[in-house]
Amino acid sequence: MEENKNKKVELEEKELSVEESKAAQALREEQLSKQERDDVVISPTKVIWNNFKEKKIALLGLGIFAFILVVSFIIPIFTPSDINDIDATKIYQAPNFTNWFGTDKLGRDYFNRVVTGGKVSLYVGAIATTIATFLGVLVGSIAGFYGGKIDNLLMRFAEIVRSFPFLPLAITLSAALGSRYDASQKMLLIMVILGILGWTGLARMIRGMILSLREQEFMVAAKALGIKDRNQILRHIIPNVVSIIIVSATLGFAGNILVESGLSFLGFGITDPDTSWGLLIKDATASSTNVQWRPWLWIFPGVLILLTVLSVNFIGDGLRDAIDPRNNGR
Amino acid sequence: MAIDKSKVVIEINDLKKYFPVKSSSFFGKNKMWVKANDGVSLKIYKGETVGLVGESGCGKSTLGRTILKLLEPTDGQILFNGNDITHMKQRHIRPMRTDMQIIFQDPYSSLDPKMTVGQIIGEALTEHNIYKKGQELEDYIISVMNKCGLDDYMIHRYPHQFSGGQRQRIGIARSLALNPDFIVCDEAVSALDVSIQSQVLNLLMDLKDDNDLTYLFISHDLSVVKHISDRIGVMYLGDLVELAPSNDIYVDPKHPYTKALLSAIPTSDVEKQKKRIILPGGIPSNVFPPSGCKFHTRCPLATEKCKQEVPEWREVAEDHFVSCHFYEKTKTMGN
Amino acid sequence: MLKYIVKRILYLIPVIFVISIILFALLNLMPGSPEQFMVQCAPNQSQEQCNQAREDFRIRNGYDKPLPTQYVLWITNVIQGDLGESSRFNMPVADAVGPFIKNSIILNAWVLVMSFLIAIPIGILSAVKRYSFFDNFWQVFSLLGISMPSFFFGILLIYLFSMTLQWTPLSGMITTGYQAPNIFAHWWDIFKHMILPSTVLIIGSLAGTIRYVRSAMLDIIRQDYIRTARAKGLSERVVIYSHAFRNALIPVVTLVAFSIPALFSGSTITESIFQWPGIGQVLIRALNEQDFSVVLAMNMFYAMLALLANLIMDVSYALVDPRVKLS
Repeated sequence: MEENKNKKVELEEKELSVEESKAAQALREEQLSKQERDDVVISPTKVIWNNFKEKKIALLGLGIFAFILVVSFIIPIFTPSDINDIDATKIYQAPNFTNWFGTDKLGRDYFNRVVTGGKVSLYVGAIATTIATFLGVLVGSIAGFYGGKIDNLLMRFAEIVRSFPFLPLAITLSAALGSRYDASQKMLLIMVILGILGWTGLARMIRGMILSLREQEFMVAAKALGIKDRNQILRHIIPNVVSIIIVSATLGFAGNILVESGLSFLGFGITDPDTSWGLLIKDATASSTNVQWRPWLWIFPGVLILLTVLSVNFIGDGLRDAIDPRNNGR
Repeated sequence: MAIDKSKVVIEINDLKKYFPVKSSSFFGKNKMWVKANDGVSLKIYKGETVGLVGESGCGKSTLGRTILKLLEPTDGQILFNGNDITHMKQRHIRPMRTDMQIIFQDPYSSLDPKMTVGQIIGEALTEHNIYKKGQELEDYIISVMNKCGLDDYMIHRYPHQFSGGQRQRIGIARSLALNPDFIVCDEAVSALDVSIQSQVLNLLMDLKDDNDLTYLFISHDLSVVKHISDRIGVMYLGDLVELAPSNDIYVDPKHPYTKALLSAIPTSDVEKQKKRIILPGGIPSNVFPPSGCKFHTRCPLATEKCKQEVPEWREVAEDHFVSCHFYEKTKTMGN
Repeated sequence: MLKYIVKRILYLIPVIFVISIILFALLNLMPGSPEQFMVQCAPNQSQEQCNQAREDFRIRNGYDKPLPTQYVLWITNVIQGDLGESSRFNMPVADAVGPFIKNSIILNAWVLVMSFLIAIPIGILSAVKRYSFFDNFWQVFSLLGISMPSFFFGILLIYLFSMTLQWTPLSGMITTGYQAPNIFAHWWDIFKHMILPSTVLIIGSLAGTIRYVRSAMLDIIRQDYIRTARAKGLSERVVIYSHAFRNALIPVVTLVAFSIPALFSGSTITESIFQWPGIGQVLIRALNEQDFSVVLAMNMFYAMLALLANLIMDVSYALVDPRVKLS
């Protein structure tokens, strides 16, 4: 009797556990298929990010640039010291433990100077690129979407702007307009000049992209489905154009940093009391003594320009390759 | 599914679509036109499938798109379910588009690569306020997908993850979701592998029966068209040259061009092998089409009359229209 | 073909006018009026006499007339070859600027030839040997080249070679006070001075060109007709040099034409560092000294150069690409 009871309990328990394990299994299976499903859902954005990750060099660029950003913007919050801290006793000191980058002609800590100059260079580059990108997208979109005479007119205009060689005109504009403004307005002026001279490339690309997109059958399909014009632009054209804009803006940013530093080096860019990497190098090369005997004055800003522009170019290149449809499964 | 001859879904009368030839100078008016459709008249009845065949460049795709007002007609008349839509503005046609749809040839470029299958199928549904975003919409989308042979899980995937045949099914689902009366199938299976073609064709035929549809099936492939069509129209250089029930076209073609086309269908049946009729020359330009009967430059039966007089489009046998001066002689052609 | 060239030239004329109008308008925003600098007060003149002299100068040269009139006066002069007078040098602009243009041409011509001679083979080989070490090396090199600020690179080279190693002269185009015994020594002297600045410019130009050629080559190699050539059994060499390269020439020609104005305008900074007496220096000095006529003339020169390059590009495109020839 006892045995039977035990047996029954055993059997019951067995049944229960079988039931339990079945439920558990079903749950697991459901979870698995959900996860499996999620794994395979690869949005186009994720595809680009995956491609990007594969390029080690792009990641390196990302890392370097992030580092520079942190040093330029975040660290100074914690270690504020007046960059105009003039100390006549410490003129022209070579790099040492107190002054990592040495000091300049007024005894100011050069590391500070370089970081501050960096902030300006990055800031000017960023705003200039924003202006140029905005103008490029605006002109390119209108030309591409409306076509016809408007397109013709806008592209002729772009051609004329493009015919002006960049550097001489930038210098001329800076000199012609700049003497009326003080230093901080000058900074704005430089941003604007770089912006209005640099939009033509993007405008052309966007116009081309829109023209080809309009021919794509999914645009005809959208019309056939009865989608309003406004929604055609918002939901179909813009998402397909965003990637070019990002690549162009990234590479444009790198270019603008270079141009700004070149302008400042020649004396037509950022001026005192503001400072930028280019301006620092200008002062550093004012005399050949400086060049030969105080190389830290020009090496640090120079290397930083190089590293920044290089890293941004790495990122831009990586993005461009990642977006290239030849890499996607077709 | 019975064909209801009392209801005319599409009627076009002398429809013309000309494209301007771009002149190279900045100024200067266009004097040259590509005459893609040069006066086509056709009635499509509810429940039937009208096949439209012809070589590349004959204007069949243009016709399909002009009927749907995706292109503005140059001349003529278009009636949809009795309504004259010829001169309607796009914003008035927009709500009507739920009743007339199109399936494209290229499964690769006809789907927006940045949208999921669910978004592609659902876009028009939300645009026309047929459904609001939510569970009901998703359920409906899945039901349409299943009807077209697509699995549930595909709703969140992107087009690039699918094969050509599956993408074409997505395109079909997209059009079907709106529950249209009339669908233009513009070379809908031409870009697919032959084995997939038959699958998709059968799908289209099943959907037609289940959903009360009317098709205009455009193709350059005669063997495909035979399978699916009730009536077949043959186009040459912008004109409709023959229109008849499917079987009649194959058994008794009355236009020399049709006969030549049919003779070109490869067949492995040794007994039935007809002599291949090769047409001399190539397709003339449709900017400067030949005078009289446009086919006279290549027609084995052509005479001086064909060069001078445009042949009348008339019904020469039951439900069998042709535009040829010597259609009786076609029977003996090539023998 | 000739019709095509004529059409292109005719099309350029309104563009030139628009550009000249824009430039003229922009430069009139410059501070200071010309008479302040062109008429120097003699020590024996009273302030009043000086002002009067300036006013006379103003009226005589038409600076009191409204801007549009001034523009028309100026442009008619330019068409006749009179570019105005340099206030700094007190001689016609053409004479003042001429020798500098010659110096820039010497430098830039050398750079152009060298950079293309080097870049084209490297670009082609990089494309052919895609992903090899050779390719990767030059890819990184190119990225470095386009990221490097030219003035930094220039100073670095001066520091290394002129100061530390003392292999090359510090600056300028010729050694001051040096009288060359013969023409070879003269050119050797110039060459020694040219090495560093041209290196900077060549490397900058190389970087972009290599990438461009490589990318153009890659596009072509991918094409089916290359595969057909290989399938025909042609040697790889013939396939690349005879078929691929010829087609790659088309975009390369475009690049050469584009590089000319780019080099001229880009060499401004490099000329400044090495104090090479070229047109970059002229513009900078003119801007600093408010030499209005020279500034205007220089900008027109750069713009003309760009338009000319554009024209050359279109024409050579037509020559090289048989598809264009026939249209």
